[in-house]
Amino acid sequence: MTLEGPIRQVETALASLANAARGAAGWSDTQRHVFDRQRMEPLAASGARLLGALQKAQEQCAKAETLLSGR
Amino acid sequence: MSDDAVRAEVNAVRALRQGVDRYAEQIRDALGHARREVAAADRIAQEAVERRRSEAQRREQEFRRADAALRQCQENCAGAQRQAASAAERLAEAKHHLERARKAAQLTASAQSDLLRVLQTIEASVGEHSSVASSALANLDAKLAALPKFGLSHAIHNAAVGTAVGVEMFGATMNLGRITGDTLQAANLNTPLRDHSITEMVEHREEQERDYVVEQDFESKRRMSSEEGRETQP
Repeated sequence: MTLEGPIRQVETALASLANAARGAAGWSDTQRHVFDRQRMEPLAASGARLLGALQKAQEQCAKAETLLSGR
Repeated sequence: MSDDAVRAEVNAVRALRQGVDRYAEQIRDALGHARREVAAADRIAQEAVERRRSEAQRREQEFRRADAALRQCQENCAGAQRQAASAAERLAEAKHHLERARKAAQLTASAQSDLLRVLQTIEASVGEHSSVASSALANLDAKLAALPKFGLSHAIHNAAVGTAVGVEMFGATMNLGRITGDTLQAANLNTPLRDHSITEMVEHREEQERDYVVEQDFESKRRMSSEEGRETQP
């Protein structure tokens, strides 16, 4: 289905980013927390927004497919 | 903080940097993929509209011919009536398909337009944030990586003792002033920066260096003034 590939890619990217953040276990909690808030959260937020936009576009494309298929 | 702990921090910084770079790359791939997919969906819908429009035009002509034949028919017109009715049915069906294709094309065009607008914003945002994060991490990685050459505990101790001592110890090739903030943090020392992130301290570093220069300047002026005072005294 249209956009399923990019949706999976973004989901994978978000999971990888979360893993990378968790993997930075050598950092103290305070450092990690502040770094997360300042740098990682905007990155993850952009990914989440992208995911939402792709899902919405996918819904529209699915409706279009249904109309074209004559069902 | 032990050498092992600092090494763990070096590894953590590298892992996080790789993660951020990988994330930005995956998002870029997904953006490209999404652009191609939504453009393809829109193209398919537009092509369907063209196909359905041609079909509707053909059915319209068929119906007109059948209708004209029916109008000209004088007797035994049942066959012409059936043909005209059948042509009208096919025309209605073709118009229905065309209407659905138009709706589909409106949906895909709107999906494409909305998505492209969001993708542009996200591309800029991810590019900016990942670049800042990656650069801060690369900067920190380079500084932390330089420490083991001189013995981590030793370096951390010197960084904690002071910039001037550190520069003397390591020579002019290594600007310890630049890493003082980071190594204080690495050493987990109780400084005003203790609760700040590494990146904040990297940013704070510049300010620290400016203060150091100002202090040195102030100190040299104070000495000059004191020496001048001694010279003017009888």
